[in-house]
Amino acid sequence: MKVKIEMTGGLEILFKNQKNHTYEFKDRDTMPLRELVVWMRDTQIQERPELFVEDSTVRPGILVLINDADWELDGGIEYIVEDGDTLSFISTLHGG
Amino acid sequence: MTDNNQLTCNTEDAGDNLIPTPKKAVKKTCVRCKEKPSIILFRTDPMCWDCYHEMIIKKFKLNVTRFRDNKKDVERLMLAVSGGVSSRVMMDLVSHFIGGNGSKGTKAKLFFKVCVVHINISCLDQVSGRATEQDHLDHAQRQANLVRSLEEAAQQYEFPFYNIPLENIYGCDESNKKERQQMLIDSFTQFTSSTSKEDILEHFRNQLLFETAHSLGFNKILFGTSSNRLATRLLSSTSKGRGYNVPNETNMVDQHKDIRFIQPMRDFLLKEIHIYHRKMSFIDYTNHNVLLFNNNSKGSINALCEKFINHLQDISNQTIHTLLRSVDKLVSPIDENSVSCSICCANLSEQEIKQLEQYSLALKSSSSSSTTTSTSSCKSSCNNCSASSSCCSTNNNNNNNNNNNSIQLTNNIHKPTLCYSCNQLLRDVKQPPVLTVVPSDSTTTPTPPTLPIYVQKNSTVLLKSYQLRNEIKDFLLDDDE
Ligand SMILES: [Zn+2]
Ligand SMILES: [Zn+2]
Repeated sequence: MKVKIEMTGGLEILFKNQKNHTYEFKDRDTMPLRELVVWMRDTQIQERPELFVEDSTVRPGILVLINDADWELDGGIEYIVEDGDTLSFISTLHGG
Repeated sequence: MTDNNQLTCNTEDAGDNLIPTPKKAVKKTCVRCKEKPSIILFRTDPMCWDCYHEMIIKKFKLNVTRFRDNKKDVERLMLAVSGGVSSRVMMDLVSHFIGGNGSKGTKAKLFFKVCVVHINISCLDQVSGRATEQDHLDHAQRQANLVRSLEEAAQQYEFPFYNIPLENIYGCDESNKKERQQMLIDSFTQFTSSTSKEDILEHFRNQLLFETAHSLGFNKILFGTSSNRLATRLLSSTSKGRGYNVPNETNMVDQHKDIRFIQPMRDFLLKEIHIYHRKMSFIDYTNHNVLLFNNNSKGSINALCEKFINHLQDISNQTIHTLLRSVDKLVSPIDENSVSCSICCANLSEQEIKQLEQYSLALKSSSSSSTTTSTSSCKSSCNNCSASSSCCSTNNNNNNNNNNNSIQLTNNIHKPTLCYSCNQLLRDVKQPPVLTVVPSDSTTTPTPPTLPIYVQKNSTVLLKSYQLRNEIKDFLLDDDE
């Protein structure tokens, strides 16, 4: 499976200052979002991982969109990511 | 079927309890048109973009027109935009409901005059302690992009745009711009905590917006503050001892009573605003690299409160609305007799007003030296001031309006004309603040923070009005006897 990831609102700073990322998992067809997020924290972030993940979910204050729709429509962190999904992480912290 | 039941229950109980939001997938078709796929869970309703867009414009319009005094008058709205996501969306919403951008609703457009004001804080860049020269350049570039994008957006909506530098809080004489900038930088550097810096920035910004609205002839200022930020402010205000003023912060009326501060975005969550922003493909130019004054990981009270609110909201998405609804139930203390703080315009509490009365009495008696009866009260009210201040003698200088006297006013801030939290704020400095009219050209460091002239003006007016009130009272009593 292949997923596209988009980071905005300041989160990109944690991810090598890159807004767009593509991750491929050759041996998987689906993956729980929780697992993906923890994997991203453990393998993709150099500094201050706690700014992205807290208590094995996305840090409160970060808005998540799944294929451009509110993740709450899809069960939030319990969502099962599929091949071809686009996930957007938008930090809403301190930027009114 | 059980899903639906749960959702209905949630809405009914929302007023009193926070029920954890079920982390379960919701039906994906829009509840309004029952046709298009939904893109947002709005409260408990899945909605498509078209229905969501329409609804949010309606809600926004209602929030703005609610404060209209006379439907026949032209409504003059000044939009305060930071360049962040919320204020950018607010610009779009205003344009939509008055039918800007050459669209059909031109009739409504006749009744609304709109302008956009951005308070430019780029000169404070130096305070935030950016590491390298490159960081400074990056920041300057971003700031320039931000202003340009706001200007272009305003142009597109046919709204006049004003870019007001924060240093104008010390006046707008172009010849001393550099000095004013330095004064601002020095002042901010003098505040110890990032909380104080953030707060004084907020007060200065509001004051500058107020002055700008006044000079441009706008009587309403619209802020893009989301419900998340308002809930955060509610919490942080309470923890800073500004609880008395909390009800007004969601619909703040300034001390001159002729310009209203309005929060038309107060019903909208950041989630809702960000989704709107994204759908419209707006670009966010905010600088996320460094939080303005947060160099240490501890952060400010404001940041801590934000974190706390976010956590609660994550447990239950009713949290923020429940909080704000509870505030609506509080009685707003604004009335005829309300007295505003000279720095932040918050209402003084009854006890603070009493202290102010005593203080003004003391001032009066010390200026007319013939009366000996109230010297004791003078002393007692002077206890409110810091030991260094010489409040009782300030009155001698008061009648002297010569600008050059600003130096003599050093340390003579009439503390009883300030609210509790502003008094706290002035304590959180490395050196006692001074009041200055003209930027001092001295380059000696460290310079104490310089409070803008408006503080002194407000303070003097307030004291005068109290003295006048006292005199009238005396007169009336004499008449009675
Ligand atoms: Zn719909
Ligand atoms: Zn105050």
